[in-house]
Amino acid sequence: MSTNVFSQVETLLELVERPSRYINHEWGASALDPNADYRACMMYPDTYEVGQANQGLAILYSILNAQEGVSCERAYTPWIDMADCMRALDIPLYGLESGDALKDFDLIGIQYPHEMAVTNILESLDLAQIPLFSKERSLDDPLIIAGGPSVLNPEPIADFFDCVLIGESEEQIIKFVDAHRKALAEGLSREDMLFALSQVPGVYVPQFYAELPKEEQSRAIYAPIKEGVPEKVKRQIVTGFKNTDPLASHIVPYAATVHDRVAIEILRGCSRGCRFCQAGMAYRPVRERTADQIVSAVLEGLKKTGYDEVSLTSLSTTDHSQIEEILTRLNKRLAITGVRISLPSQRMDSFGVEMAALVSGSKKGGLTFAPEAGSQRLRNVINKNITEEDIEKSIEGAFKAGWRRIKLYFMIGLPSETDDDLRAIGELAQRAYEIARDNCEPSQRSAIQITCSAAIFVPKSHTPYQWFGQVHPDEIKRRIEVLKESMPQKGVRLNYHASDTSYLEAVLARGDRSLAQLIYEVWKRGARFDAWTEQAQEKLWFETAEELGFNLLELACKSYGYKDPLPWAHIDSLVLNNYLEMEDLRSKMSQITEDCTFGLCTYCGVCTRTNADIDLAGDRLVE
Amino acid sequence: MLNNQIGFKLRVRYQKISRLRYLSHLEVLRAIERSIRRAELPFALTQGFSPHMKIAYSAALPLGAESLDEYFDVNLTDFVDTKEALKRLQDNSPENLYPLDAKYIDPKSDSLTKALTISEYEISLSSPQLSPEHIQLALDEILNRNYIEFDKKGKIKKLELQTRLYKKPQLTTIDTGKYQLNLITRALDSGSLRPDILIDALAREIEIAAPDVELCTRAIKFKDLGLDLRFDRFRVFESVLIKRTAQYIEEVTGEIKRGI
Ligand code: SF4
Repeated sequence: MSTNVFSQVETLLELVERPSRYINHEWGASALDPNADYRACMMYPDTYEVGQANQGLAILYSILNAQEGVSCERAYTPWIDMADCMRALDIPLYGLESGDALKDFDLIGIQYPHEMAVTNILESLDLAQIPLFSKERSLDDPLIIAGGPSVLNPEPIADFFDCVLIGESEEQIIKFVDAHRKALAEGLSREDMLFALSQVPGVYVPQFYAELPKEEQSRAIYAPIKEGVPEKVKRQIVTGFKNTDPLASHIVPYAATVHDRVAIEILRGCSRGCRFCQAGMAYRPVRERTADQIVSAVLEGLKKTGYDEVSLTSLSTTDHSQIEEILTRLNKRLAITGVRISLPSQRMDSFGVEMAALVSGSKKGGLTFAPEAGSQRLRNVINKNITEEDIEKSIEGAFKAGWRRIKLYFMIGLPSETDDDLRAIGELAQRAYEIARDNCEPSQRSAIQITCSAAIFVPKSHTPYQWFGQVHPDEIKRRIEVLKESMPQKGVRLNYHASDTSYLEAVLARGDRSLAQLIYEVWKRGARFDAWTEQAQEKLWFETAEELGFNLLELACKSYGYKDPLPWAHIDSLVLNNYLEMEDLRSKMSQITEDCTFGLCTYCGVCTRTNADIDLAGDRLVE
Repeated sequence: MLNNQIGFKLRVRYQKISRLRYLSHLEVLRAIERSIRRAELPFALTQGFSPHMKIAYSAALPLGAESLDEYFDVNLTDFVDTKEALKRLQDNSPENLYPLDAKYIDPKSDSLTKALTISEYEISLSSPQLSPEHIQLALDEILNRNYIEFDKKGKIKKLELQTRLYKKPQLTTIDTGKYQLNLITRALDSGSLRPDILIDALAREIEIAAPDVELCTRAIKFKDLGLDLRFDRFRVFESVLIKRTAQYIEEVTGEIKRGI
């Protein structure tokens, strides 16, 4: 029987910040199937405001609730004030919908959205009073599974999870839950059940894999220790993306969430091929919904929710082959309703600015661009296919159209970066300022705001830069000085984050299974909400690591050779390793690689190795 | 443009109860605007760079308070029959934030915050260790002094009471350890007497007047565990439930009438 804890939680609601995080009963939240015999919960390891906005979990929540006999709830990490109270009063973490303790559920799916969420995963499991390590759990505990963008290198968190779902889970989760229910009904032992689950495509069961002896590690570090489990776990791709429901969620939160609007995923994948970008490799091939489907989903979403804003989401929204048609039609339909349309990012060319202008109406807030690197040379190296002319044209276009505030994103510490490349950022900023001045009225010049934002590059698994060691912090410090000096005297502001978090991120992004021990220890000493700048405890991480014998800087800055075994080699992102190698070589020669949705197939392997294919709603034309 | 016309002003009375009493004022405003959009009422928009709904609300409730008598005024560009408008709103509202009544009012009439200056509250207090005398004495002490002092973001503020009290507050014993305080306040431009401020002051007064009365169980637990109790009232009261039962317009004659 399950224990309902909501009445206990209620005694705390007046004592914590933002109680609406904990009360559920939002408009559009699913009514649970009272006859369900299988109870699942999708959990996001951060606050309600961050997690509720996550589209991936929202999709799985809807899919599971539509299954006969299955009910699915939501859970988030309680903020520290609530967590402390719950822990002190022995109140376990609960499913938001029912208020029942999570430890009585059958399945808890936890999103691994980014590396800095690791301590919150442990914090949430611990608050739920569920054993943290997979090997400590029994059939009495819920099955704990992970999914999401960062599981492409699951090893640092592998010890905490019973199963890891690799790739897009819309179809996979149904097969997985079916197999789990069958195993429960048949009364299988935990080991047999996990084996049955390992047979579902794309399911990685960490305890059936172990580190190979050093001399046997030719390509991979981890290999099966149980007969019948796949040697390599393949990333799953939804076959009929177009046929999936575009309106992932119609829950209308009371608390202001980070993306508080209707979100319609208009296309999936991006093959522009930026060499630093994991998402650009890991969500191929590109698949678009049709304009008709998108327009009607937007209208339906607005009507169901009452939101006054809609976001057309994807990795590269303005690349949609029918984007102009979509925006024009939406503008027409939404005139005089006060509804805003937002695009998550701007493509840095004149078309990108035209599309931004199409939805901005008369309100021109800020416009954000990501040239990523200052010089053309370095942009070619990273395959950011935008030219000097594109950059100038888009800044000119932005100021001509009436924007006065722009933000430019850069990365520092990219492979092959020289001081000249850094100085090129300053020169670009200077040019941006001049273009801005020349393209607005003299009386408007004081309103010009140009911000350059520089982040430290973090190499990720399954990208052409997976072998590249991060640049040492001392050297980064020097480079930041070069960058600072290169900045124009006036008109431009520089933001940079020189925090140690990017090194932790790098360690976890390319780390191996031994890190579980460190994550556990750091969490035990009080680390949580590491992704929140004011909560982050980098010092604690570094001190604990030293005590346990990890050299974090060495791990972050370590470079691999192409022949070296990698900790994530047993996870197959479907992009060929040879392709990544070739991309890295082309990078070293500053050679660009075309986007296969605009040009020809470049043989990354995704389409050739599966039955997936690029699926566009129309032709993508090069300007 | 439609937006320039005076149009129609619909006044809606609603309740905020049960779990949704934990919503902040801002969260309530957002939730109501979304209900209106879902109901597809022909709401008017403001002009300018970022048009938004022309809507106004009665004064904010303290966090955690229930109310049976909240209001909003929304401008409509077209006339919709009152019953029909109310039904559409009800169909699109959660039951704990639910429209009860609607009526068209003169578009030029006073705004809600200006009009509804009198608020009636029913406050349920529970505290097994306090006797009725403890509370009554502390209350009288505060009323005789005729002001309360409280901390507003680090600044000490002083609030005069008599002009802010429409009537003398009444304390009733409901059951052992269970009390009810009936309060009718008058909002002034120079600041209003929020019931939670009064209860916090009352709690502090009780602690001074009866220093040997024990803290309530939750407070003891929190103190042992080093947790923050956040508000003074929870040191002496096990639970405090503030409910606004009615809001009134005060006529020049001194008479009061409801918002709808
Ligand atoms: S296989 Fe070819 S067409 Fe398919 S995503 Fe890779 S490069 Fe593009």
